[in-house]
Amino acid sequence: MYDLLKRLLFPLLKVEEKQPAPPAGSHATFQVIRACPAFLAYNLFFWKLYAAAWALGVVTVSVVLLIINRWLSLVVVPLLAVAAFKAVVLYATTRLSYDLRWYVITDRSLLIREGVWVVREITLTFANAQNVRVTQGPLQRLFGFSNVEVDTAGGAGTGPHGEQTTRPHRAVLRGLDNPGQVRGLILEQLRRHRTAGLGDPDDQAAGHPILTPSLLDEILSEARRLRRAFDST
Amino acid sequence: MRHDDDAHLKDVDADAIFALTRPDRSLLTLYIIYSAAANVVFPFAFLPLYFRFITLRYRFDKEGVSVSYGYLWRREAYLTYARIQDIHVSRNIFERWLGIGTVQIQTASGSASAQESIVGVRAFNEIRNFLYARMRGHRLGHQGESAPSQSAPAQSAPIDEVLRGIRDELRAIRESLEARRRV
Repeated sequence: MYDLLKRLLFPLLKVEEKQPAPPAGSHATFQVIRACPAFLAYNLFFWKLYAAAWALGVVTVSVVLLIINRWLSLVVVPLLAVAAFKAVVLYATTRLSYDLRWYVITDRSLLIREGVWVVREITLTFANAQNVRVTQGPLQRLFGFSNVEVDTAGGAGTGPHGEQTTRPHRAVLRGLDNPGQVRGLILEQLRRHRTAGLGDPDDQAAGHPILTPSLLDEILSEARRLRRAFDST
Repeated sequence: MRHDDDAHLKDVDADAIFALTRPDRSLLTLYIIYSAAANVVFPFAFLPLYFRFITLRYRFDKEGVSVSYGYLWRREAYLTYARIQDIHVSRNIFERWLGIGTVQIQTASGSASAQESIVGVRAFNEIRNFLYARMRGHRLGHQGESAPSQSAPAQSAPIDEVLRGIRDELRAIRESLEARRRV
């Protein structure tokens, strides 16, 4: 059923199922991480809630309308059709968004691709990452998965339409059943960078010169002896 | 011209990116679709977008990228590659049908929206790779890891030299002073 829907929708939505290539560059290794099945179950749970609420509402309204007047079935039938269509579309997007979710971690960058209606790709280098966070809500705990969030510097307001997914400066790897492992993997890459990640390429080059202390001591003693020699003349 | 930065990037043709100055014509189609949603007030929705389209200019250079548009109210933003924090590539369903995409570039500023958007380009993946290759940390040891160990001896050597010179100079003065006193 879903496979048929998928075959139907993929060319229509112009999405591709193959995994995204890591950003071109001199990465030595990369690995692809996907959301776990529990994440799909969690999203489908919300779909079921939504569908149940809709069904309840629509059926109640339909029954009331039919009791008032049988001719109102002209309204009821399209109403039911629209409700059913909405539920199917929502089901398809929930499944598709799970299938179209990819996380690519190279040894120096992170790439996230997600979305069905709008396909988004976030690319950031670990040199710019500020912190890594693992979050889990109570319901997510029940389903058994966590999100890993990677922040870069800058304000993390909501996106232009108030949605959470396009938050700038934040990359969220949703639905991981091994968050500790992924977090460790990212932190390991972060540790290799000593800069603050604020975009200054020169902050390492302009370090303080290293002076040899013994040489300074010799200069000091030389100056003292010079003064003494001068005083005794 | 070929840049050293791209030596390791076989699939990024920098010259093609440098040559890119205008959005694709499909962007106009996209703007027509967007404005069509406003049906009755179509001209009011479309005109600003039309002027944006005809005045939109991109300029990629070795250090950064600038985006300018506007007819009466002009706007030009320039940002350097090294300051890029993250790159977002987004394509909605219309853009996908038209084969174009939007590259949004974020720097470490506080604003919620992207600092610069390169809209209506066909080569969005190439631009992403091009920008990525110029971000900090795309290559280890280039600007990240090994910088201090390389720069420290190179910088401290001349200072040691100068101090040694001062010491020798002082020593020579003392010796000549002592020698004169003995006479």
